[in-house]
Amino acid sequence: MSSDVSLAPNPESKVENPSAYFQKHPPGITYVQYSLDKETEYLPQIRELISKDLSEPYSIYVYRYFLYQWAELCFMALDTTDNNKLAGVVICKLEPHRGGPLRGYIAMLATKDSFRGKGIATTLVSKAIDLMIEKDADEIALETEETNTAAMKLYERLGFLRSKKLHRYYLNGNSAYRLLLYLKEGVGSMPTDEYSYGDIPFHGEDDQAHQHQDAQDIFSQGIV
Amino acid sequence: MVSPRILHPNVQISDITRQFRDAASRLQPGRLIKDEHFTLFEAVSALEIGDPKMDSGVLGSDHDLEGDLDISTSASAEETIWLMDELMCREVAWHMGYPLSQTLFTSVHLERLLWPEPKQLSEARFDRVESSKPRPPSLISDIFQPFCIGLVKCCDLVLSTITNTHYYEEEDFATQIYNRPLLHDFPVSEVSTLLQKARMWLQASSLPPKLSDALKARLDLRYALLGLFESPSNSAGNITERLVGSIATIEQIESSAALGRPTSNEAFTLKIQRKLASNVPPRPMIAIERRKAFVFLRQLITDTLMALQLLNITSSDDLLVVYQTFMAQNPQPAVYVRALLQTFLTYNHAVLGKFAVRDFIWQDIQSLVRPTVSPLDRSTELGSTTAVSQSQLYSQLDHFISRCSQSFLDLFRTFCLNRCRVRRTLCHAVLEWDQLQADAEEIDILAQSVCQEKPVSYPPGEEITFSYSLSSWVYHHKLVQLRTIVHMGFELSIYAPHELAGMCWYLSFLSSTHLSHLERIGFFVSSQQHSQPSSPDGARATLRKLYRQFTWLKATEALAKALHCLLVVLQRHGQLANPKPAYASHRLRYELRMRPFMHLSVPEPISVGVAQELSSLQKNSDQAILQQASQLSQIARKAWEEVLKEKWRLSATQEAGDSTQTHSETMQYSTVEREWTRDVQSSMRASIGASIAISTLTKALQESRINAVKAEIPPIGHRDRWHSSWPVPKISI
Repeated sequence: MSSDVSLAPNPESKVENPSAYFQKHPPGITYVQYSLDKETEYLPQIRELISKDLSEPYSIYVYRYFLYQWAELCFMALDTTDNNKLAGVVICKLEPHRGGPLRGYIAMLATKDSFRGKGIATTLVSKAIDLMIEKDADEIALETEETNTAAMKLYERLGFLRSKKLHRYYLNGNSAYRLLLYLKEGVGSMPTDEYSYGDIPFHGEDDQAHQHQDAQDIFSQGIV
Repeated sequence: MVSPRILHPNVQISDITRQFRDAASRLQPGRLIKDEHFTLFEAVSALEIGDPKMDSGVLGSDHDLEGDLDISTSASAEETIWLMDELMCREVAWHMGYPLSQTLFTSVHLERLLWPEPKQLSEARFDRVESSKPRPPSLISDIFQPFCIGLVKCCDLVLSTITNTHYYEEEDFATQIYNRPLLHDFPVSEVSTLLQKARMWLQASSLPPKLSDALKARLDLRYALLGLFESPSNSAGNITERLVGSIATIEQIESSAALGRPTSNEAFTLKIQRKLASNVPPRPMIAIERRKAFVFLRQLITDTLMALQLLNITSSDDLLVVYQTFMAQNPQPAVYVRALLQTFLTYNHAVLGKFAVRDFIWQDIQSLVRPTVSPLDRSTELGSTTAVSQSQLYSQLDHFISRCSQSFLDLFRTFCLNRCRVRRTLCHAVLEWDQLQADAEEIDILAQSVCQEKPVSYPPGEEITFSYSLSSWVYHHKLVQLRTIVHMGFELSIYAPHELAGMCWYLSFLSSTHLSHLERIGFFVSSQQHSQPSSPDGARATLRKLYRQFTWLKATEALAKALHCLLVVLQRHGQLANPKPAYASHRLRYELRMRPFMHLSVPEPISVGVAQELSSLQKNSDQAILQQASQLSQIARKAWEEVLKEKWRLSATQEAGDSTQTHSETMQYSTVEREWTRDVQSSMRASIGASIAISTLTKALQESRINAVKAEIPPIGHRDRWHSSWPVPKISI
C-alpha cells in the first residue's frame, strides 16, 4: 500500500533470502534445533524460561503438544560459555488453518534477560520461518500482548502485519494483536470455514496457547 | 471386567487401578501417548495436580478448608463501611469482565449467604445455623447482610440482561456463577423491602450522624441500582432527577469512604476459589482501585439513564448516529450498557419498543432513495402491467425486506460490541451486504419493468440508466461500513506507520466513491420528483439528508487526501518507511491488508499495481503534492466546520417547534450531543494539525532540510493525537 517507489514494476512475491539479513551470531551463542532426545536436558530449562513471564504456568502438556508434534520447529539458542545452557527458545507449530491455508504458528518466544539486545530472538524466529517456508507454509500467525512493543517491533521488522486486535485476550485483562505474514500469493482468497455468513469467529480462534480458559467458555454466541 | 461395587442405587464405582497399571507398565517411560482428539485447547486447560500454581485444591500446611471461613458476628460502623466499599470495588471488577471467583466470590460473607443455596430469601444469611434465640441486633446482620443481598440481586439482574444479548464470554464478561444462583428466584421487591428496613433500622439507631449517613448513602445507592437494573425504562421518575440523585449519592459515598476501617478478621480470601471450581488454577484477587471504581460507577449510572432517552428517537438515521456516537465514548460504556442498548432493538418485540422491524427498515430505505414502489402501500397501480408481475414484485420485495432485517439491525447491534469486535464484525458484515446488493439489483430490474420506469441519462449527457433504488440503498450502507473499517483500523492501531499513506489513500478512494454514489441517488430522487411530484416534502427531506451525508463525506475525503499527500512525501524521504528486507513483499502485504475489501463485487477490488500507481503519486513533485495537501487540509477544516453547524440530529429541526417537548430538555441526549461535537471538533483539530505538519514540511523542503525531518504518529491517548481515527503525523526538525 505504501509508496515504495523503488519497487520493481512486477515485484517478486518473496524477497530473496532475508534470513542472512536477520540472523545474527553473537559470540558464545550457538543455535540448535530441538529434538525429542534433548527433552531431559532442555525441557525443564525451556519451561523455566517461558514461565518466567507468565502469570499462570502452562502445564507440561502444552509444551509436549508442540514439541512432540513439531520438534523440528523449535529452535534454541545455547550459551557455549556456560555448559550450553538455554539462552533463548522459539516454539511453533504448522498445520492447516480451518481447512484452508497451511499456517505456521509461533506459540512461544523467549530470551534470557542477560542475552537480550543481541538479535537472538529475531534469529530464532527467522530460523523457524525459514523452515516453515521450506515445508511449504502459506502463512504464519501469532499473537502478542498489545503492551509488548518490543515483540511487535521484532515481528513487524520481519514483515508481519497486524490483522486484528483481540479484546482482553489475556488473563490479566490485556488485549492482543494477531500478527500475520503471507508467504504466497492468493492466501487471502483460500477458502476456509471462516466466512459463513452471520458466523463470528469464536473466541481466540484455534490458537489458545496464550490463553487459559474454562472448557465450557470457548464458544461465544454468534450474533443473534 | 472388574465387578462394580454398588454404593447407592444410582452410583456404581469401579476400581480401574489394576487395569491402568497393567496398561502403563507396557509403556516406555517418557513415551507420549497422544490421542488424535487431544487438542491444543485441552493441553492448555490441563492442570498438573499437586502444583500449587495450577491446582487450586492443594492445601497449604497451615490451614484446613471449612473452618477457615471465619465470619465475624459483629463489626463497627467503620468496619461495615469498609466492607461495603471493598465489595463495591470487586463488583466493579466483575462488571469489567473479571470472573466472580476473583472478585465478589472472594468475600466470606457472600459465600456464607449463597452456599448452600438458600431455598428462601430468609435463608440467605450469614449465620446459617438455625437458632431458637432471636438474634441480637447488629450492624452485620441488620445493615450489612441486607446490603449484600441487594448487591447479589443487582448482579443477578445485570447477568440476565447481558446473557440475553450478544457478548463475548471472557472478552467482555465472565458469566460463570459456580453453582451459586445469584438469588435469581427471589423477587426484587422482597430485596428492596429488606433494604428499606435496614434504612429504618439506621434511622432509629444511635450511631453518630456522620457514620449513620455514610451507611445510609450506601444503602440508598444499592436501592437505586436495584431499581435501575430491574427495569431501567419502567422505573418512575424523571431521568434527570434520578441521575442527579444517584450521582450525589455516589459523591457522598466517595467522600465518606475514608471513614472505613478494615476488619480484623479476613473478610476476603482466595481460599474460596477451590470450593468454586477445581478445574481452574488459582487466580489473583481483583479489586478495582477505589477512585477508579467510583469513576466507573458514575459512568455506568449515567450511561444507563442516558441510554433510556434513546428510546425517544424517531428516525433510523438518528438512531445509527446515536449508537455509533454513544459507543465511541472513551472509555467505552460497560458491557451492561452495551447489552441494554441491544435490548432496545427488540424492546417489546419492536425496534425501540415502537417500530415493527419492517417499517423501521422501509422508513430508512424510503427516506434515502424514495423508491417508486412501496410494500406498505399496495393500492397504487404500478403502470399498465399485469397483476401477476405486480404480485411477483411485491413478494420479492417482502422477501428482501425480511432478509435485510437481520443485517440492518445487526448494524446497530455491532456498535454495541467491544471496539475490537466492531471492526472484525464489520469485516464480515460487508460481505453480507455485498450479497444483499446483488439481490436488491434483481428486484430493481424487476421493478423497472413492472413500473415501466423511464431511463434517464446519467451522468447527464452520458448513457441512459435506471434509478436502482434498492441496491443504491444497500450500497450506501455498505460504503459506510467499509469506511468505518478503515477508521477503526486507525483507532485500534492495526496499521503500522508505513501502511498509513496507503490506508489514507484507500479511505479517500472510499469517500470519493461514496460521494459519487450519493450524487447519483440525489440525481434520481430529483428527476423522479419532476416526473411524479407526489410527495415534494419527502423528496426535499431526502435531499436534505443526502446533503448532510455529503458534507460529512466531503470533509472526510479532503482530510484523507491531505494526509495521504503528506505521508507520501514523508515516505519519499525515508520517514515511516517500509521494513526492508522482509519476509513478505509489498504485494503480499497488500494482499493481507486489503483482505476485507478483496472479495467484494463493488467497489471493485483494486489490484496492487493500480493501487501502487495511484497512491504513490509518482508523477508529481514533492512541492506540487505538498501544495495540494495544504489546500486540501484547509478544505477539510472548513468542511468540518460545516458539519458542526449541521448538528448531529436530522430530526432536531423538525422537533424544535414541537411544544410537547418534555421539560428535561436540557439533559436531552447530552451524552450523544457531547460526544458527537467532540468528535467533529477533534476532526477539525486533526485538519489543523495536518495543515501545520504540511507547512513545516514545506518549509523544510524549501530550505533543503527535508532530510533532517523526523515524523512520528502520536499514539492514541497522547495529547498530540488530535483524533483516534485520524493518524496525523507530528513533524519535528
